Amino acid sequence: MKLFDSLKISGSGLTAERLRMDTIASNIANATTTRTEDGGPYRRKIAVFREKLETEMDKASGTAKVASMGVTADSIIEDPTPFKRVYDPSNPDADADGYVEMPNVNILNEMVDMIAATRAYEANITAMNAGKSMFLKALEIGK
Amino acid sequence: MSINMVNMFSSAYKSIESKTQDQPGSNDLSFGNLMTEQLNRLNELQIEADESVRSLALGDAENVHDVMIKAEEAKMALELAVQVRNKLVESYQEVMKLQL
Repeated sequence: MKLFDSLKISGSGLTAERLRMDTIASNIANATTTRTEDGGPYRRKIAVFREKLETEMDKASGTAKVASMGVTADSIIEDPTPFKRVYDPSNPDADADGYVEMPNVNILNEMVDMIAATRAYEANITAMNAGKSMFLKALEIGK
Repeated sequence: MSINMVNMFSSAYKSIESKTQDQPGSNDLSFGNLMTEQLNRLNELQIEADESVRSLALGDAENVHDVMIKAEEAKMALELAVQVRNKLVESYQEVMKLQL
């Protein structure tokens, strides 16, 4: 592991949590959106993460070693759960029976996910600070 | 300002190194070359940090934490270089103290 790898790993975690925060914000903002590009109501989006692996050549033995370099966003998929049907005949998007299909976004779930993403962001920053203080302590060897 | 300091240091090293290069038996892996390489790398880190701060001020930066991480890397590399210099100066003084 090279010198600043721990900073880069924590940095990738921060980027991933920010991306998740962006999807949560998009879900909350679109919680009552009934018109999208595809025509239907808004579908809840979920950010999927993957472990980031980097191959580096081991100089001593000449073989390729795979090292874990944090997390990366794999994709943003749409939640397949069915839409909520709400009876509201006054809505311009209501069908013949007066039902409107509302997005499958549960605001309470999104708020809890938002808190989790915030705490995960802070945890990554704590890990990065710990790595940095270890480095600075090592500089005091022999003092 | 820190970039000018590092540039002065590295150019001083280069001038010393060029004076000792005409001695027979000096190869490319000499200690002066190593130091110059590492100082250039430190300079690059500082320049990267400056550029990322500038891109944040312009609104081009994607993430604030990337800017902070680059600034931290530059600062840590500078502190490491300062400690290395301290150790070098200490060992130089030890050698000078030897009674010949």
